[in-house]
Amino acid sequence: MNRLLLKPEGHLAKMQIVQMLDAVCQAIEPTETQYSDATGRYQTIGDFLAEKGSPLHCYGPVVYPQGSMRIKAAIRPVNGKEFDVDLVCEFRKMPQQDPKVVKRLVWDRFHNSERYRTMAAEKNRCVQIKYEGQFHMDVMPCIPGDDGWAMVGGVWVPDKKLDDWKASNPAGFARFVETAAAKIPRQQVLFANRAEAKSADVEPLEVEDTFTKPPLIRIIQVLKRHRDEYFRNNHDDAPISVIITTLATHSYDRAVTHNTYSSVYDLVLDVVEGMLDFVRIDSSTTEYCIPNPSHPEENFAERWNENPMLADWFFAWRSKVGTDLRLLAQQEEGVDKVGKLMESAFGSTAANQAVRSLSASVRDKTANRLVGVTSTGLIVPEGFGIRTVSKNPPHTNHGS
Amino acid sequence: MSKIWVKVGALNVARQLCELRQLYPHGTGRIARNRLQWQCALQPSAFSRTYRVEIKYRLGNLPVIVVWHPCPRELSGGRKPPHTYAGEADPLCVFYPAAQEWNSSMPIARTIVPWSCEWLLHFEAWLFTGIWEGGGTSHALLNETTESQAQIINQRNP
Repeated sequence: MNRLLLKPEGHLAKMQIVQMLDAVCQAIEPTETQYSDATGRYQTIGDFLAEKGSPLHCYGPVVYPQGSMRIKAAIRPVNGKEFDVDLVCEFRKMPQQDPKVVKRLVWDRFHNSERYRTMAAEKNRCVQIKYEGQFHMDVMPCIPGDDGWAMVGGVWVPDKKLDDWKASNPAGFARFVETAAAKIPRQQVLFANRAEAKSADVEPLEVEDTFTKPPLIRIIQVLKRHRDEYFRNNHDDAPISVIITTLATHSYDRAVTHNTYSSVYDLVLDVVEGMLDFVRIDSSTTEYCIPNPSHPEENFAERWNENPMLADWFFAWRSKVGTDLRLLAQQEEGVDKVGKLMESAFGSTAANQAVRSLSASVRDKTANRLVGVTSTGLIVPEGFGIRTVSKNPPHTNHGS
Repeated sequence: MSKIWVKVGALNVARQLCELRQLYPHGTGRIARNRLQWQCALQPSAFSRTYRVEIKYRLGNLPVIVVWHPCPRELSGGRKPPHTYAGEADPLCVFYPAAQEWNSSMPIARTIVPWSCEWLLHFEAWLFTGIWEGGGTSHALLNETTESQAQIINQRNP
């Protein structure tokens, strides 16, 4: 297709920022090996809880992942290497109605085991199994929700502090994210003249222009990482991941349903900007409300109403992440300065990987004769819609 | 050995300058006593600084590429940038002479200039990461090449 983008240089910068954000995510997420190790571990835990001879066998326990591990948006914490792996242990046949008893059944099973005793710790809503240097596996026991509710994945979770059951729907929440993430953003192609514009059609964004994972998942990872850096010294004030994931998912879903974008970068900015529209304020109580999309009675922003500072922190952070992302594509003072910005936003390891990926991509494309330069020296990938004056022949930089 | 750079079909300096002017119209160049001297402002990426790059060339020698402003050595806080030769203003090494990646039949405008742009981009990345991702060989590993390089640099026109 013979098309010319109206602002091709700006478009190239945006594509390169997306490429660098992708490298940021690759640097901080579990590798495929770590994902499969984690899967192996939780399957072993599932077998251990359900095996014949286990006191839990008769309750029909089923173990499945929830949270970021399930939607593949997990990231490494800023201090340390261990990933959180959140698991559900749903008892399909549980006659017990006392939350304390159900929680204790799981705790006892781990605690009475030679293998898991030293790794297990009890938390408010789960039993945590620590794999030193690898993961924390948070095993959350639960029983199926009431009829109808259970049909869509609803469960009751024992809550130690409340000393009661708490309604939840981890599988439904994952489906909410996965459904939105599967929607492919539409590309708005900018044409040089009216004749071309007339024949313009909307088409999916080119692979080159986008992330190596669904854009929504990458956006969630970028936001969470930025949050972790921003709240490095006041972790308790940080918005919880489920709030970020919910708002980003609503915003992404609306963005890809209603709009077209000339670049994935523009989509990212729009999604981050649009998150605010999904923080509701109840007109009668003036309380903040971010309903759990898979269980609308649950308000993820409950703590904001108890401590309004948390809401202020959220808005301050949201504004900063929007600004930081916008500034990235406006840099003209050097790739190293882009690196500095990325470092303050996402940490030094991630920023290093991002800058290296930009450099490596030019190297690899040159080796395959896929770049050229413009009359001002701008290095441009082949077929990008920017007029180049020369191709870059393969070569070897020499010298120490 | 000393003749390898002047091939049959070698482009004279006037042809080289002509093509540089065609491809990079805002560059400036001249020829004095068979020596081409050309300068151009180059910006390798939308994020990059704009660099004033100079290329000097005499048929039979290798082109010498120098970045004048901003000065790479100043940007790096005094560290010698990777893939540069010893010499005034750290001339860039953008190809491997022993592999005969460049010879005098090749237009500088379509080889040396695009390669210099790449060097600038990899250099800016190196400023931040301390790692050169542009690929290449090392003088330290190829001592014999260093010598042949020096010979070529020092040789005169036939």
